[in-house]
Formats: sequence, structure tokens, C-alpha cells
Amino acid sequence: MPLIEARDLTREYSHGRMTVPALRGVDLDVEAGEFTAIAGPSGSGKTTLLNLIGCLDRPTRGRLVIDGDDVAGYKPSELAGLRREKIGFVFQTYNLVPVLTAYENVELPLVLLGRQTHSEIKDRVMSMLSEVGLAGLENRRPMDLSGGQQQRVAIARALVKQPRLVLADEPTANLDSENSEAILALMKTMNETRGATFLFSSHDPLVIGYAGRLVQMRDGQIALDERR
Amino acid sequence: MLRFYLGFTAKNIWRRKRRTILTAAAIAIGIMYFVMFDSLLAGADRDAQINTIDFETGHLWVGASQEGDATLARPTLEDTIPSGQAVAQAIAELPGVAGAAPRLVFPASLIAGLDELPVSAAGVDPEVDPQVFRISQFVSSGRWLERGEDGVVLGKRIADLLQLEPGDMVTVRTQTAQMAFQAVDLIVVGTVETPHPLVNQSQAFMPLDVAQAAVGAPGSATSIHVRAQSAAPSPSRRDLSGLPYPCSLPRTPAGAYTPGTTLRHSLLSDQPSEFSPWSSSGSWSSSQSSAWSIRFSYLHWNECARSGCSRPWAWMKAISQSSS
Repeated sequence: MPLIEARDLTREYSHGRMTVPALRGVDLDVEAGEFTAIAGPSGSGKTTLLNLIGCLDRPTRGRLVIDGDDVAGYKPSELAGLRREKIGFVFQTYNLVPVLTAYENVELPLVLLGRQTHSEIKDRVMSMLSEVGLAGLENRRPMDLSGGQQQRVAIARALVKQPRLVLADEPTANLDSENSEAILALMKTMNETRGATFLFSSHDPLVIGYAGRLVQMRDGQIALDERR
Repeated sequence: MLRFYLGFTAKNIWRRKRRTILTAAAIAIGIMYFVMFDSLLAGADRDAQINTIDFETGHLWVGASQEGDATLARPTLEDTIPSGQAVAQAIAELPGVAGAAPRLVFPASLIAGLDELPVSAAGVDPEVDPQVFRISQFVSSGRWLERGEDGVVLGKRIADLLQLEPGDMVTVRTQTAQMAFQAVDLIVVGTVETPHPLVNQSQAFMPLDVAQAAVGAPGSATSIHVRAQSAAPSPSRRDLSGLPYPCSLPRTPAGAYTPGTTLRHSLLSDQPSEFSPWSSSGSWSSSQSSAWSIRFSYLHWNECARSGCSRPWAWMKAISQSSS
């Protein structure tokens, strides 16, 4: 069974009397462990698709199953639980909590899950920071880190709770090419070593080059879906 | 989880010191302005109330109403207490009363040369009036009145507008109780400048006997103003609001009076919740006298209540009985 199963996924936005279709009946299956890039020009529906799969938005119609859960009838609290348990997010602008240190930012999802002791959390966080190459920088706050380092913290934060799925919306858009490549390499390594499923959007050829599967969007529909 | 939220809050406060300081300063300034303006308003409110007591009404106001109309309308020559001075003297002898001043208030015009100004003329007993009002303490030029003299004390603003000084002559033109025109010449003996602008801008005081003769109403008064014996004649807002609803006030007091007594005002009905320092103005009329009735306006009931909860009520009863 695929990790993500989308059928006739449609999202329309209303502006007064006008209805703008952002996503038009998308069918998509993503298997566990895949490293998938969603590419396409601006306005093609990449971010809308990621928001729906990340349970941050609800489809106008269609069916969406995440890891066996049909989320169509979920209440907001149930969607929040699903996001907390199974999905990690990496954002273009990092979205780190500015008053917390790198350690505290990575610690946050585990504290919110509330399943581990303080020492277990500490071991996990330090290990995660080490994996993303931030050992020794755990006490720095986001404003004391470079863009690349901040995105590493964001990746560590997304992965520390060992989610089934990691969604990344333009993860390298704010980084230079050197840092972009490093971040992509890190994500690929995490995909291979931890088995986490990555689904990320981009229109950067460098990013797309790393993907094991490319889903090309155009005008709210999938124009191309190829595995490499 | 609570520990996490507390820690997160503390970090937000301590790790963004500049924001915290700015926010705290903004809140402090806001509270400071609130306290300052609230204090100013409370002070203005208190001053207005003190002015009303000390310069306009006293604590309790007894009026007459030929038709039994128990409203707070200004007294007129049509509604005089025929034996006003005698009633005032009887009231002054009641326990807890510091003074009872009869006044004969009537509309008049002051004429000085070619200038004419409408005023509220008040005949006052020069020796009794200071027991209730503080006007005589604010003589800015000249002196206060003496009994029997053909003199007048003017509010400072009136004197300035008419360019009058002590020693000048002024003509007071009015109508008598019988609606005949009347004019008397009086010497300006003094001017008063009080904290109450109403007195300064619109009032002219003359001896009661002179006023009674001028309007053809000997011995009468349009109102009797009563001051209670109180350690603090000028109540603070806090003092007033802290007072309980008059403890001895009967909910249905009609039965306590002789047949024919009529009582009007919400305070006397079963609505004690409406009672407050500023809404306590009201009146009570007794039709025990066939010639006229008494009207009480306890605008400052609470101040009276300071010197004994039951007194204003007892006064009304006693005044009613003494006048019948």
C-alpha cells in the first residue's frame, strides 16, 4: 500500500463570485522511502499539493490517504495529531522559533509528543544535530546561524521524531548553490539511512537532479510523472 | 506540558529584553495615563458635587409646591413657603441640623446705566445663609450683606460685565408675586468670586427682608436649604459610594405618615438599587397643609446620611409635622 494515495484531488479557491482552481483532479501514489521532487512553474499547484498532503489544508473534493488514514473526514484536532505523529515539515524560510536555541528548536517536536524522558530526548537531539553537521552549535539561536545552518536545524527538527513522511516546500530557495547542494545531499542521506519518505517541491534543476522521482505539475495537473 | 509552556514563556521574555522592556514601558505608560485621567475625572466629579452642596443647594432642600408637584424644578414666586423664615427656624432646631437658610429666589434684570443683564436674584438672610453656604467666604471686593440694608452682592462676572464696583448703584427690575413690575435701587456692597461658576456668572444676593418687600411676599421663602452637622462637609466620591443604602429608610413608608401624605420618587418605592450619589436627587411631598405642601430634594442624601442614617428621613417627617 502506498504511503500517500491521492485520487481526484481538487482544490479550488473562491474570490467573490470567481472560483480559481489550484489543483484539478490530481491522482498520485507515493511509496514509502521514495525521494520525490514536485517541479513546475509558479502557480502550477506545487505548494497547494504539498499543503493538502501535509494536512495543512483540506481538498475541495477527492480522496487522500496518508499511511492508511483517509483524512477526508478528520477533525482539525485529528489532523493536528496526524501531522504531529507522522509528518515532518521543512520550509523555505526555515520557520525556526527565534527565541529558542538550535537544540531547543530540534527538541520541540519531541517535547510536544511527550513520550520520552528528558535524557532520551537529549540523546536523540544531540545525535540528530550531529548527523546534520551542527555538533557544537546547539546553543546558538537562529539569528546566530547562517541560512544553510538554519535549514539544517529545520531538517533535524523535521526528522528527530522519525516521521513516516517529510514534506519540504522549496527547501533550497533561500540558499546559495553550495549550501543548496549540501542540504540536498543531507536530505538524500537521511532518506537512504533513515528510510524517511521525502516529498519536496522546487523548480531548481539542481534539486530536481537529486530526486529519484520527478512529478511535473502544470496548471494544477500532473503533466509528467517519471521514476529514475 | 505546563512546564514547557512556562519555560517557553520565560525564554520569550528574557531572550528578547528590548521587546520586553518596550512592552512593559508601553503598558506602564498606558496605566499611568489611565490612573491620571481617572483621578482627574474623579476629582472633577468631587469638586462639582462639593460646589453644588456649598454654593447651590446645601444637603437638603425644602421647597413648596401648591399643586403637590414633587419635581426638582427651580422654585418660583408662584410656589413660596408662606412662613418660610419660621419653618427654617423650626428646621434649624432639629437634631443634626447645622443650619437652615431660607431663600427667596426670583428672576431679575440688573440695570447699570445703559447696560442690562438678566440674573437670578436671591434674597438671603445675611447671618443664617453662611451657616449653610460658603458664598460669604469668597467676597473678592467690598463686604458681605447686612440685614435690612438696601445692598446687593454680585457675582464677580456680573460685576465685571456691568463694570460695577462696591459703592455703585444698580437697579434691580423684577416682577412681584402678583405679577406687577417692580424696580428697586440697591448699592453694590461687595462682589463674590467662588469656585462655582454659576454663582459668579448669574447670581445677585440681597437681604431677605429687602427681597421680600421688593416682590411683595413678606415672611416667605421659595426654598429652605439645610446643612447637616458633619465632620466632613465635603464628601469624597469614595465616602459616598461606600455608604450603605439608608438603613432606616422604610421600603413602603407611606403607612408611617398621617393619611393624605403622598410620597413620590423611586427611592421611596421598592427600587433601592437605583440609589446612588448622583441619582439620589428626588423629592417627597406632603399635603398635610391645606395652603401649601412641602417638597424635599435630598440631592445629597448620602452626605446627610454620614451624620446618621435616619436623619434625613426623620427630618422630613419632623419638618412635615412642624409645618402642618
